Amino acid sequence: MKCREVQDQLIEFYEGQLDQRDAEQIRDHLGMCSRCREELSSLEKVIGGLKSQRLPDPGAAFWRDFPKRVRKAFYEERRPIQVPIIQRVWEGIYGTPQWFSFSKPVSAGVSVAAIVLIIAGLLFFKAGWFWTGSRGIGEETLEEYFGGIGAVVSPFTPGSLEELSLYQLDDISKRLVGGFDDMGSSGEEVLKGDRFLLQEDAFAQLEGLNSEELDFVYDILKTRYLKSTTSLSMSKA
Amino acid sequence: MTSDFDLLDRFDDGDQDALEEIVSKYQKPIFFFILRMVWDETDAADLSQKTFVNAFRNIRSFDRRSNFKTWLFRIAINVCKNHFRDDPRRREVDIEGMVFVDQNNPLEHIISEEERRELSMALNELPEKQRHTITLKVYQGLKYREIAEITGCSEGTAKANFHFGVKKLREILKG
Repeated sequence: MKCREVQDQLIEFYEGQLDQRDAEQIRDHLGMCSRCREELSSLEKVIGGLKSQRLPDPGAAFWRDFPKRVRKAFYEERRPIQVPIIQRVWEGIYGTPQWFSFSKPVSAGVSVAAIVLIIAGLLFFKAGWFWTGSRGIGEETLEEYFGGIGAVVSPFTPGSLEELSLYQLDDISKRLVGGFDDMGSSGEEVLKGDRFLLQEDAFAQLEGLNSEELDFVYDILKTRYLKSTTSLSMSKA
Repeated sequence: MTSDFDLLDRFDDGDQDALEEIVSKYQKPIFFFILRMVWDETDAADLSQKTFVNAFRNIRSFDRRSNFKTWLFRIAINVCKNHFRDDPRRREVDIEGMVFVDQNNPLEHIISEEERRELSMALNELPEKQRHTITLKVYQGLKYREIAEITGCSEGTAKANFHFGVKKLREILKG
């Protein structure tokens, strides 16, 4: 075995994680290579030193209660995934949030307009289905649900975007991008993989609205984002 | 023992007890991993809770091609990143008061108290990916393949991160 191969596996050797044959080969090599022996010795010192450290344990009561605490937090604070709808559509257009740069507010304004049009488009093309449906959207009131969307997207009203301060832009970016980060999407690869599913989710949520709810959504969209657009209409014809 | 996927299926079916079972299974590795990132017990508890809640909230984006544990660690890392991003001053931590020696550990004699202190501080100052890799390898015993999944790099890069990180720590110990 070459030194490089041995050193690549030294930690597994040290931890006893290698199979017998590989461990034997490394042992043989160590017997005749002082450099690798020295490597192993210093590795033992570092790993052993790290492993000998202990952190304070919060105690049995904490471990007993923690699952209940998470359960409570999850079920009590649970909200329909209104923010991800916006994020997901955003990602569908732009890929990973990291690509987004708030140094170009005009570009961001155009982006928001695109998101708004997509949402409006979804509502428009699905309208026929909505009128026959009657499913609700869970326990949340409709006002809270779409108020949530508005809270996230309203700062992006294209006309006003350029007036926002850097602080406000940073805040908005955290609200939009932060959700992705917390989902464990640590990089471009993961986000791309999720993209189809995420867009599908957005559709699924919009399809859950009945006609009355759809009217409400449309009014909000029209008021908030489509002030200058008169061509879209959603008559109940 | 019930597999993670069985538990997730039960959770999907609305079984709230399944959620608690999943948390019980992974609460310690997640909590201590986060504690080694933030060095504050209260923050570690809050961020651990956030990690699990985010995981359950976004469970549909877990495609089951990787294992659930690595996915949880990935979320934990991102939750910690956001924690520091929201307030960079949180990085200024005093870890000396947090780490103590386990007198019953057979490895206790390997290095001196002074070296141990230097080691803790040096680990905390390593570049993020090296620190994550060493922590996941040494304290969680994960394989390079799993660490690569968590940190979003190739297996080769995970190995390199580990070796470069350990090399730096060794140099510090050598003085």
